[in-house]
Amino acid sequence: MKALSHSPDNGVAHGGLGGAAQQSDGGWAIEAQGLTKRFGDVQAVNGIDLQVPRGQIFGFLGVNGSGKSTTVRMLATLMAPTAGQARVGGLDVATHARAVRRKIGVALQEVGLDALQTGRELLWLQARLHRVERIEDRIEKLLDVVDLERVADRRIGTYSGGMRRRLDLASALVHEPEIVFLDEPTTGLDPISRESLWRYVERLNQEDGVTFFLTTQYLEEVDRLAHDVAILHAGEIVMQGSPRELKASIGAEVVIVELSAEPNEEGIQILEALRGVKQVRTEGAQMSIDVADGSAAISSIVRALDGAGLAFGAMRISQPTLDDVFLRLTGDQPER
Amino acid sequence: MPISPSLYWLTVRTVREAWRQPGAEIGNLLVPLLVYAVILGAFQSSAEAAFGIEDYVSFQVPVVLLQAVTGVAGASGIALVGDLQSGYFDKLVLTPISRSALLGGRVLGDGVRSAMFAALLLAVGMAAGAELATGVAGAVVLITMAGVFGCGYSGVGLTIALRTGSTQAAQIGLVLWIPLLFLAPAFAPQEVFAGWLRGIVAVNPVTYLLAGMGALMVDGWELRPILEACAVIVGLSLLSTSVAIWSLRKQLS
Repeated sequence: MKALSHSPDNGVAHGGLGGAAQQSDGGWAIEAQGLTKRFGDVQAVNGIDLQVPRGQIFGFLGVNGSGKSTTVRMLATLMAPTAGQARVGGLDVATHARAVRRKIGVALQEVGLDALQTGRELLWLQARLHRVERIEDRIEKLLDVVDLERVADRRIGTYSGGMRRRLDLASALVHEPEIVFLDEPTTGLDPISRESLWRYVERLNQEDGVTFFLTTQYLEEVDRLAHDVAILHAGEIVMQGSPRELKASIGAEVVIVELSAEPNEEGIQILEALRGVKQVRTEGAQMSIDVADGSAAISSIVRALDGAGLAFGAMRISQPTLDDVFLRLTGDQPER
Repeated sequence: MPISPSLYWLTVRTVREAWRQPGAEIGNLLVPLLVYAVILGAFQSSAEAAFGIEDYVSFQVPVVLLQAVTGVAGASGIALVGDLQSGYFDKLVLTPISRSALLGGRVLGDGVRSAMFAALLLAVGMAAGAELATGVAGAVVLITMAGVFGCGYSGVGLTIALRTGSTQAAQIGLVLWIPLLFLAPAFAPQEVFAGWLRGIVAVNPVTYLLAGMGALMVDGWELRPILEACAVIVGLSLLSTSVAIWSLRKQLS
């Protein structure tokens, strides 16, 4: 794993927040060492080491099947690790599971709700089980935040997917946890609901210092929210750092070329052999060329394209995105 | 409140969940009543001559009660599989309540529903002409026995659900009762069974349940069958809920 930054009090470089990570006591909200999960012959998670400072939004990025949800289930005490250790809120998840559950809120990928209860009843029961004081006030506030006041007394079975997702989030927050695990929280949400959820996560993080562990396949999500990101591939963390650091790691600039047709292997090899070119990636007829200096490289790229017989239309130089980082590290195409 | 708040609220949820599915609850009521009517229609007139049972209407009441209880509590596994598959069970697991409370709410809820159904069906039986030899106190004991048996039978369904995670397998909880009923003196006394079956009947716990509940209905306060029935019910309940909790701990470990 490549770790680009890490210390609980390192003044983490931020994504889109402009710097809001809070370090209440200098400790880690989440720590894992050698965290491993095997299902028979399948190695779902392979020796993950992780340290998430308190008050941070931590993005856990990977495609389907990379081990994100399994990691969350182990950290949230829902699944025992095969090997390794994890501490959440300073407590060992194996030996102090019940105490850990008091500190955490979890919204899993599969929205787990009881269709026969009303939204209000579900929140009320969750609050009771968490022994929340002043339950009515808390529920009214949460219903307002997730914009479900009007449907709170309807049975959950009648809710839309977005409403269910928002109620699930509210139920994870009902006891005001200090650490929140959100497993692909915006999957299936419309853009407005997604924006609304992002704003709420930002607000809780900035105003209340809540730590978020956010798994997602949406790169723009971690780019917008996360202070730090770990990229998971085949059960292993392949890189960790702030979004800015991750982008900087793959080269200063990316030259994007719109070809008239998909390039052949020979053309790609010619470009890869150019001086200053770090990597060439293709997606259909689009070619992304990682270079140290885009302006300096562009003329030699044009000559190489002509030489290889690759006709092209538009060409532009851009700063690297997390998509570029992700593709370079995993070879997988993220969701858009 | 004699039970923990968590257990109480989870019990309320189980009862509320059942009442919000009236189709299933009406079925749980009508099926035993239909069987009661058919059995009485078929055997009532000949029961005294054939089996020496004078009051067949009262003799059949425990059978009806237990049928209703197994219908009510036998679906516990199906309900739990629903929670497991929807992910709602994870949400409950993530609360800081004990593992036993997680299942206890469903077990107690099924027990409460079983007792309510037993009370209703006992009233129907009385309206149909059944007599209760032990009076009001006997009715309370009978309903309590049905409720505790409901808890025990609920634990069987929960264990199947936790071990398999399958709705189809969990349905076994509904039909498991049937062979046990037919291998007990439910419709005729033990003496009329073929010799090779009597050994099975003698070790079938349902035999003791029916004997104890039948005593309350027909014979009066005969302590031995009543206590034996109570012992079977309590034993089954402790065993099945313990195995269910062990299964849950195993699944979560």
